[in-house]
Amino acid sequence: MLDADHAIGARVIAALRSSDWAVPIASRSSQLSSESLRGVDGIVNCAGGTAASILACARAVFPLLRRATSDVRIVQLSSITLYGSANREVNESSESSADLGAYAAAHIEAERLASHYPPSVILRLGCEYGPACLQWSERVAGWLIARRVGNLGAAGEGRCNLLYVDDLAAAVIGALTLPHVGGQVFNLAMSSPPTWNEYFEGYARVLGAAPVARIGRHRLTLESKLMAPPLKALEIIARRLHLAQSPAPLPIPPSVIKLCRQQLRLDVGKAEAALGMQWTALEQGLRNAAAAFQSSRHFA
Amino acid sequence: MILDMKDLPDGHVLSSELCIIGAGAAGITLAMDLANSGMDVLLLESGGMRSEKNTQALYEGDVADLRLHSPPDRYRQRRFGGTTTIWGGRCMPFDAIDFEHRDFMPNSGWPIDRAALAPFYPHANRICEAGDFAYTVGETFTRPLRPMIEGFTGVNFTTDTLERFSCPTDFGARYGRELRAAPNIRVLLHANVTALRLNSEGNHVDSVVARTLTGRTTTVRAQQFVLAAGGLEVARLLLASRDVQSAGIGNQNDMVGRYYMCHLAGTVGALSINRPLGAVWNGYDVSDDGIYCRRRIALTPSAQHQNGIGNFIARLHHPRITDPNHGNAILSLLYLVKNVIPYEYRKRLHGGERTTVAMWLKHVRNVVSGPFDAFGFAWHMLKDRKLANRKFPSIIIKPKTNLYSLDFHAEQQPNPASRITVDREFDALGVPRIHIDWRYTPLDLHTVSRSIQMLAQELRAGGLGELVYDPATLESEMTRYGAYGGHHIGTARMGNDPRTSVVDANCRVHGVENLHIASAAVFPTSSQANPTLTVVAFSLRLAQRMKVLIQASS
Repeated sequence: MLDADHAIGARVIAALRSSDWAVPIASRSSQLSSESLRGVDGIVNCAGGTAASILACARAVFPLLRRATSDVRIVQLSSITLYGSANREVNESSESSADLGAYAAAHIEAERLASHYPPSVILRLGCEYGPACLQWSERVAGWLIARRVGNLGAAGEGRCNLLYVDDLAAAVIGALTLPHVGGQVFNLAMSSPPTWNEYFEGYARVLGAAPVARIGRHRLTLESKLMAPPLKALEIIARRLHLAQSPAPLPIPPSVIKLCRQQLRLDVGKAEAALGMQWTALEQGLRNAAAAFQSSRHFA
Repeated sequence: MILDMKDLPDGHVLSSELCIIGAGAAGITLAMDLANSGMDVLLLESGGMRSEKNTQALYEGDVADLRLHSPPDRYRQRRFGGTTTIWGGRCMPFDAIDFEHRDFMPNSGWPIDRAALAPFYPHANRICEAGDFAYTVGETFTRPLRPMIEGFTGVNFTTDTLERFSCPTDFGARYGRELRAAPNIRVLLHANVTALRLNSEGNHVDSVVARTLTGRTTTVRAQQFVLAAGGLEVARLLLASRDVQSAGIGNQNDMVGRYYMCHLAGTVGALSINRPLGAVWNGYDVSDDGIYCRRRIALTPSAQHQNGIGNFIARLHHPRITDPNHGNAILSLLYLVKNVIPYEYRKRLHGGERTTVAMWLKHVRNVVSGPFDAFGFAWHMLKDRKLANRKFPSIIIKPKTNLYSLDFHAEQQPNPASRITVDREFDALGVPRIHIDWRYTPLDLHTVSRSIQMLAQELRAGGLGELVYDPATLESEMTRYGAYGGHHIGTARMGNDPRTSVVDANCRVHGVENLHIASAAVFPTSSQANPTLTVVAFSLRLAQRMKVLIQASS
């Protein structure tokens, strides 16, 4: 498990550990060597976070595997961000849009490197949610409780391509173990995704953050344009100071506001057919995410 | 995409599989439901993105008695989004009894029952942004609510039902972006449909003629046409299209424009509740999904049957605003600033009553004597209504004593003599103007008077309070504000028999194979409920039918 030192990585490690197939070992891509690959049956590249870390990991692992003429299966966790601002249904062979940021561009480069290594399986992840998922569960819960998001009206009618964290773990196990999926790419997200409004409303209810707030256009603009930059700065300062968390609320970045409008629909039929994916029901996923969030706050 | 007919050349011909006439609640819902369906949809809208004086003037017409009905260019908007640009947002479904044939209610009975609409109501609710389709206290609230009137266990009435409020959602602003993005939908602005052209047999719409106020004409051909122009305009367009059917389309039995209903609405009496202040709640409760909900005192179906009266609901209301004897600073403030309130809402604030200088001074005194109340109210309205995205729906005043009035909303009897006709005068595009002759019946008056009488009896019998009103003035109270503005119902009623109706159970005009109507015009009865939610539900039902019809023809 490469660069899996985050909540999602931990969840995948736990799932692998409880399977009868694997004994997972966490490793840093920077420490990877031919020696360390000995006896390894599969690799999951979990590098995320920043464009630099994604690129660094991919550039470390794929040349090494090629040099080692290894046929060890590697699962590359990629992202649907590489579809950019597309407002349509996309499948795995759809073109990326031209307006990509550095993060999406890094995933494209990582996928390109992976494609030169035939045993690799690329999983393009939707918005991971569930227990301990920082981006789309913990962070959103904070916004909902503070009534900073809710029903966004027309601004929240985009498709929320959610991927429950345990479904991701199941997909990883499938990608590692199924014989005929090497060299393939899969979109991963629930097959009938809610709108962002539905996601926020449903999550708010199970969190007990009712009544759900109605957030207007002007308020969103205020959040993303005026408040987000200073809040982000405070977040960075807090990180530099090694504080457990920023004393200020988490910013709502403009990219999230943009995403909430985006009509991107993923064709996930290939993952269902080849990996046997069955998606956790949204209600169940939300209940689990809310319970984990409340439990973490309780212990905090 | 959204186009402007002013940009098209004169004499242009457009074709589509489906042509929808009118981009209000019905037309936009229908188009939205067909977005990305692959069906080629053309949505014609008379107005532009904003209100335009000369376009709005096309709605002008004549009213038999202006005391009973507002001018036809009021309470409706001729622009993208239609009247949802000004509506109040009150949502509630029709009750099952509304669809029944009731012997005591002449001309009642729909060719469908409530179950036929039931699958569409939840989605309609979402489109109206009124949250979950849950219209009882039990379905909506898991937390205990303050009782509406503590100790009230109605025999003929229930306080368990509620109304939900939309933002209120302006359908044009809310769904315009999606319509613009849908590859199969074209919205054409400033396209005033002036006539529907039938084939020579009179059983098929060949085309519609649309004109701009700048003098350009476009002909639109389509496989199917849906008239979604509101209860008054639907009748007008059918009656004005006489080139093949000399009495107007669908009017071979003189049914178009008849049975015109609004709602009976008014404020009556002085209701004194013998309970502590906290034991009465006349305000809103916010549901978990963030929707303002309000309970009502609703007449039960069995009481309607037993008493032979129509559907009826009442709300606890503040005392009449115009009378300064209420001594309430907030009500007096509202009275004094009535001229800055839009016409559609202002009318019910002054009710046409003459105000003397003495009364005006009393209102000023009320405001001066309660400046904090007045300021607090002004702040609440600014924060929760003016600046809020989901607006506080109406003015709620919590009296300092348990003294209220009753605000009622009741069903009208479908009456063929209450009708819309077309005039000999014409608008700027040559379309005959409408003449409105809205009427009420003795049964209408009986519905209101009997309901109020029963409610007064129940409150007295339960030792809960006293409703004092003068039965002799009830009729004038019922018509003080005239027909409830904006609810234009029944002018192209639905039925199985072409002799007594205009459209069939699928909303298709009898005898015209490709013309459907999406509007409250098709409702055979008016219910106690505001019509918009049910109009939206009908539009969703019609969208399903359009998919089948277009698919079958291709």
